[in-house]
Amino acid sequence: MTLWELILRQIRQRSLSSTLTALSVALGVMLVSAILLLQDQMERHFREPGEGYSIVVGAPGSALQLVLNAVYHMDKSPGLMPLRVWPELEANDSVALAVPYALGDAFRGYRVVATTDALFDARFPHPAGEGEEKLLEGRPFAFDREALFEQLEALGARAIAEEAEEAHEGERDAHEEVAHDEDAGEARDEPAAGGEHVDEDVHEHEDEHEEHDEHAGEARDEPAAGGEHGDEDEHEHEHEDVHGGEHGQVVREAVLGYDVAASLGVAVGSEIEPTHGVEGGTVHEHEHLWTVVGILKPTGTPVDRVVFINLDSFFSIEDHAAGALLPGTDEAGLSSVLVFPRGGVHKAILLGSLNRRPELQVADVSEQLRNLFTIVGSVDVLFLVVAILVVILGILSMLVALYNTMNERRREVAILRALGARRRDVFGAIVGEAALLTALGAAAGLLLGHLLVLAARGYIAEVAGFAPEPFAFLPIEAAVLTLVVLGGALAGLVPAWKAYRTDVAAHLKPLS
Amino acid sequence: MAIRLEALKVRFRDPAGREVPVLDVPELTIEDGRRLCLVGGSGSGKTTLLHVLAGIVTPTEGRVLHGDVDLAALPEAERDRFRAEHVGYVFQTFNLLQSLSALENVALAGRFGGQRRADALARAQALLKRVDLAHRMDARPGTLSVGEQQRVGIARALMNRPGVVLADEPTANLDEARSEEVLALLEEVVAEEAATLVLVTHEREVQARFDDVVALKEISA
Ligand SMILES: Nc1ncnc2c1ncn2[C@@H]1O[C@H](COP(=O)(O)OP(=O)(O)OP(=O)(O)O)[C@@H](O)[C@H]1O
Ligand SMILES: [Mg+2]
Repeated sequence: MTLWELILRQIRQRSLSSTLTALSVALGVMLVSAILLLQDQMERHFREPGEGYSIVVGAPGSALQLVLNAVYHMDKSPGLMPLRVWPELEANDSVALAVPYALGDAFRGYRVVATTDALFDARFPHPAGEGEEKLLEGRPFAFDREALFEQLEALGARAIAEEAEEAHEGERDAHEEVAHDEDAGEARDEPAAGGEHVDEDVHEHEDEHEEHDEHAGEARDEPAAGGEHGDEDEHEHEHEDVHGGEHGQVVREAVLGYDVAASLGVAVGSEIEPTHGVEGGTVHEHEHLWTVVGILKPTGTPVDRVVFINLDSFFSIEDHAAGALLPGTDEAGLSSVLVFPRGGVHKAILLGSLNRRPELQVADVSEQLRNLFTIVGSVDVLFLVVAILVVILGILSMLVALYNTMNERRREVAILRALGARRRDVFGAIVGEAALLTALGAAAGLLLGHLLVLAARGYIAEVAGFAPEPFAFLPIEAAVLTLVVLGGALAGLVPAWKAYRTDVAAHLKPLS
Repeated sequence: MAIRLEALKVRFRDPAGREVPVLDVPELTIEDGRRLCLVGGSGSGKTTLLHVLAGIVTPTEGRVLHGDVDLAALPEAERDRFRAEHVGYVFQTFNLLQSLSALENVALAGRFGGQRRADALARAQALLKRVDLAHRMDARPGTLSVGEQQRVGIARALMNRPGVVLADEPTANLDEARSEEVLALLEEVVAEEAATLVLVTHEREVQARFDDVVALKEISA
């Protein structure tokens, strides 16, 4: 029979009061642990996947939203930016790589991102590597730049800015020069008024759809006229013949993020049919199938949950064609461009020059993440303070409960002393009981905290865009446990002092 | 180990703060192995005297010698240790810990007497067997009869092979038949353990069993 066994017996003897006391401590610790876990999971979710990205350019609006949308594939796209900015960026001396994103489709709950073969560039961070090195299986999708600009031409969009064209004159062939347009300057000055590919309410744009579907339809139906089409003076409608040109039908290829392939069991070679709109969108009017040509390596980032398709195929769909123009203009739009600047001062130079352009929103990824963590951090601190107060309240309630039992327990203390227990033995027994009670409460609280995160997982995924890992144990939890037990022991000093001072002779008397 | 009280004075403070004399024992010697019955009116200081002998109460003046050791002069922690190792105490109301079984109540005393866990358990089992409670070792005190509870109390008092057993009206809460039984048992086991017995009683029948009867009035000056 040791003192610890005696303490355990005392706790069991008062099992109801002990349970309530431990529970009140557990409640607070549960909150603390859940908050710390979520904080950690959120940092984990955002910090690592955000590494490697630098600048995101998009439609005017919230820079944070832009980053969340382009890098984390969450939140709605802030709207459309002029597509012509993309070749312009590619031509910029400060830019190492520019990756255009066109969003708007989904495949069985996963976002579809249309982009170029820049996705397979070594400088695109996730997955690491270059070309096939990024792939677990298959090959990169085919991206045909010429076909893309032909599509855009066919849509009647002035896709490319004059300057951009000039910048690329040396490098490009005649096909792209088709897009050269006298009105480009004018169009560029028009602000993009928030046209979105991601339309939850497709009907809003019905008028546009009809209008542009017409063009697209025409384009489709016209037989291939073949040959070159460097005829700059031609009317827009006359460009339609490019579809039948040497590029023939646009290839529609998809490369799946690891999770998409794994969870849907889609293999290389199968065909998928994305729907319009991210959430439960409508099927495209005509059946359009994309062939899965590759599956990306797992990255542990949101890239795993994205379906990438070639940008040229994106604009070959009537629905997209309709939504792909900046509202009120005939200018083609993109959701965003991920910009990877050259080293050194180039990032600052780029940020400086891009920030001066009212038709664009520029987001510095690392700065936006810092802001996000600061905002979330300060909210977390508030919750954490409340949770810590709950813990303190729990410990105080234990103090009161123990203190109140001390009157009846003085007899036990006196008996122990009569058996030869020293004052410090009984003092230690009470402190030990308080510490053990809080330790049990804290341990239960840590477990409950993780269970709480487990239970709230779906909800968090819905509102915050990431599913926390509920059973990640943090080193700080050991510190929480230690601190709470210390706090409990400290609170135990009060009743222990009462036990210490018990007058043995007075409390050994028979009860009358 | 003979016990000797010298010029012992115990005064308590009443609630008004005045000192009230409770005990005044100029001299009392209890030879080793002696069986002493302590009698006296209510409030005469019998319990207080046992507390002094156990080192629970320190006298205001005088010496409390167990052999060469003056309990009155020892620091508290050493008095506690001395009590654990050398003094067994039997209470009128048993004073068993309700959260522990009979066995654990007895074994716990061994912990304060410095016994190893296994030794303490073995000795506690042997003692409970000796007081005919082998079948109730795991019972909680609340489920035992009063006679059984006092037998547990006796076993506990002997746990550390004490030189002296102090019993404060050990049969006052028992009926006549139980009283007789318990008293006989107490005398037997104390004799077996070769301990000195100092027993306080109000009861004439109990007093009659003792050759040595000391009335507190007689020793108080
Ligand atoms: N802790 C104390 N503080 C003050 N006075 C006390 C204290 N303990 C005992 N007394 C007083 O000392 C006197 C002796 O008490 P004690 O309990 O020793 O008497 P007793 O002989 O055992 O009486 P009883 O036969 O009723 O048990 C009493 O007057 C009692 O009120
Ligand atoms: Mg008394």
